[in-house]
Amino acid sequence: MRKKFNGGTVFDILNVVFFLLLAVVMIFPFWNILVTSLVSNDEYLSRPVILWPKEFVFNSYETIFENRLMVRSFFNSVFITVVGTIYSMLMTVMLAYGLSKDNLMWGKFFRVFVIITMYFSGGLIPYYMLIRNLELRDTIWVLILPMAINAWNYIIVRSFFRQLPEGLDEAAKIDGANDIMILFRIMLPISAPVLATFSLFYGVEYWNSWWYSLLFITDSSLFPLQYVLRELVLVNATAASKALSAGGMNMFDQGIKMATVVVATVPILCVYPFLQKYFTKGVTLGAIKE
Amino acid sequence: MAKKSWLSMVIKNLVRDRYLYLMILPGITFFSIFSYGPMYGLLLSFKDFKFNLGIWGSPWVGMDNFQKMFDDSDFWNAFNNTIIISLGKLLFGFPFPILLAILLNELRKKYFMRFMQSVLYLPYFLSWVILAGVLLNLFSTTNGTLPKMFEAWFGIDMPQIMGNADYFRPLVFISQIWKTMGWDTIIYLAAIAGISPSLHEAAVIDGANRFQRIIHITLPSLGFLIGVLFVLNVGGVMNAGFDQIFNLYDPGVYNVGDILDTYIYRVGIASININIEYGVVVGLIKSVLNLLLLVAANSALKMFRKDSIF
Repeated sequence: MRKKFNGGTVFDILNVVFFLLLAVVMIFPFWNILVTSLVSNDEYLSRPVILWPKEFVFNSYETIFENRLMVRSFFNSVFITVVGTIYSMLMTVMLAYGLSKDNLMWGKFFRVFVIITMYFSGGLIPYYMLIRNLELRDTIWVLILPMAINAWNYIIVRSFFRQLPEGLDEAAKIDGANDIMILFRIMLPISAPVLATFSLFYGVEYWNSWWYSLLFITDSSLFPLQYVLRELVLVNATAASKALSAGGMNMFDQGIKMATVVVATVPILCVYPFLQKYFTKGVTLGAIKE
Repeated sequence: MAKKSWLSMVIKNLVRDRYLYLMILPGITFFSIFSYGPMYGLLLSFKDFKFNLGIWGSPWVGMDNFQKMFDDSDFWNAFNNTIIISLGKLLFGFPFPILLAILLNELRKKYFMRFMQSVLYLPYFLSWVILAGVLLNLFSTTNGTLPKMFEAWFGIDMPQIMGNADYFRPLVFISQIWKTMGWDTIIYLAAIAGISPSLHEAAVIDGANRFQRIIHITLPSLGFLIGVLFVLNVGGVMNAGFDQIFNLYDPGVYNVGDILDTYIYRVGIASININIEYGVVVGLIKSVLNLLLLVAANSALKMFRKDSIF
């Protein structure tokens, strides 16, 4: 008995130590960025390693928020995320609910029609040409319309609707409600965890999207934040940050870049931990069904 | 007569479920335009594309584009890299979530477990644009934190990591593991939570300690799930992770890091002498191989269970 107790304790301690070290590995890269965004240029240059700033300086953030392009791109991202998430959720939920009915005529055909898109696609170049032909280039809608439904999300939402008890809609039907009213008044109110999960997934997808803006947007007033961040940090760092600090602010390249990374990260950081118990269920629901 | 009753049944169904059809209409339209629409462009695989003639009007050239692809060493480089990087990610990355899930489950304090989960999920929610910035700030030789730290604390010169062909693949593997290992524990944690407590109780009565229970109860209970996920991952081997590679690579590492997706982009969209139909052909080959792998994976899974995804 005593031996087992000791063995267990040693293991428990080692396990906690292991996870604390892992937490450092996960958090340090972000801490490093936060610190870089909060020190002055002088301190950054004079101290090789900064784990805690001697003095907190908000110059980098001031530079960002005084910059038209930056502020504009931030609000573009907010717009895309909010409008896009609502649009994607509506499209996904309606499709999933409609196709969750077993007795829908041609339902099997439409289900296969959707699933095929997960197995085969036309590829990047034909897609690019399609968007050109639809004249969606250089509109904000190119960042929203083509992202309507993620087929994988559709499958999980559909399997959620299928496992709701049958007959929920019978009484409402007798009272004269149609399927649209039933979906929005009866089904959705009891689907809060699923709605929260997939709103999070779509929201993150829209907030993080940079690829379509790289392909299809040349008008700088339409750039989302992630695209500007990419230009600033990865592509033509010096030119981009010069353009940003053209107002004559005290220039501090690395600080400005890292402050931008922080601004792009914080909204996500503020949302997902609070939805954790929902999305762990959402992911599992799909996995078990699949 | 039979025909008429069929028609009247169809109409009856359409009328009865008119609101359901109305609800699926936007979604079906969406997939028709944005998923099926581009498939028309695949015709260009067999054509010499002229802008003024359009897709249909451009002259047919048979298999010329395919021949060109098979003779193209850059294509084979991207092809090999795609397979190597995908399999590398799979082999190195696959065990981590399993191990982490088992260890997370052994944590006694549930609030600490939840905290660790939040911490581990964080990188999964961030884009590769952000993470590439994060990695640059860590490893860059000019102003990265780690090289400065190594020099100041240990007097060691750290080698150049970013943009170095020797380190590109390890960087891709490790950053991928770092981003996704936490997220991938979710499904294993759920499976562990589903193991019947009576199994553990019986083992405790038989005198099994925690390690023995992990080896003889937890791992075997996960065996089925591990198999399913491994097969599904093999099905996705043609997708080596465009977002990650595209934000981390540069011309200096094309020989080890260029994958089909990045090659298609450069050939068909972003080069001085773009060759549209050639980009289409490489994309078609990738799509076809992807399809074959997915079908193979799905039929392998059907041997395990009766459910298919339809």
